[in-house]
Amino acid sequence: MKMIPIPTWLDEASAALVEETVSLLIQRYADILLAVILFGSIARHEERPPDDTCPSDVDLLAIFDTTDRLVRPHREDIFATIIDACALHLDAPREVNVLLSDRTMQSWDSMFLDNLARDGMLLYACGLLPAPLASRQSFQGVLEDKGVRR
Amino acid sequence: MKADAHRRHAESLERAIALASPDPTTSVAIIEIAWGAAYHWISYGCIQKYQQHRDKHQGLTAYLVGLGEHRLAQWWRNFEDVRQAGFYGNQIGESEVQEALDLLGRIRTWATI
Repeated sequence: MKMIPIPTWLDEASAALVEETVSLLIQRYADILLAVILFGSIARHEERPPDDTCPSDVDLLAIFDTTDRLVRPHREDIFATIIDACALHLDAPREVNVLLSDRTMQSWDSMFLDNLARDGMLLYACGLLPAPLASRQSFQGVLEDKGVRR
Repeated sequence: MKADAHRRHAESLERAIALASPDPTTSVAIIEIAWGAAYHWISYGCIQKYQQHRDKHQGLTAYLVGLGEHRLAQWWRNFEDVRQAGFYGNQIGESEVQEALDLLGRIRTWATI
């Protein structure tokens, strides 16, 4: 299991919040957490600055080893975990949005999956990625670079 | 906006949900409207309980955690997930609508007791 460094262009307090969020998710859901991917404007390095009146949020996609789209029955506890991380970093100028996904990823729009593969940054992976992402070359390369065996 | 105005907005949005609910093609609209209603209930409740509120949804999670309202923050975060998943994944079906309405009910109860 690997946790890959947070992008250096993220401000320190928000980076600490992201790291706390991912670490707590790994700690509490190690048996079902397959991957965490940073996507959106921060991943593209097109983010609004933290002192903007409306700074860009940090967007994460957390993929779990379930076929339930709403990741039940863990859903409530996962959001409680996200709030636990938030409570430890109230100084962070950016919000961290965590979208939950099942491993099939069947209901995600293909354009979203393409954008994830093009711009997304894999922060954590445990073994094989779900098929819709594993087939996209960029993620495969990241995993191999970081020594995660496929 | 004052507390009563937030409550009126929330109730008006909830009436719109009741009108839309029989039509299964309105699920995206129901989630958007429910999210808006939840925001107004949170504003109403914060004013009633703390004599303050956040006048935008950005940063609302941390604001609620800062007030010590961890459960409410958790429901709001959950709501954001249901709503945003719709933007990226077309994941809007009966389960998502039910989740949104359940969360709205919890938030309304928090705001009004």
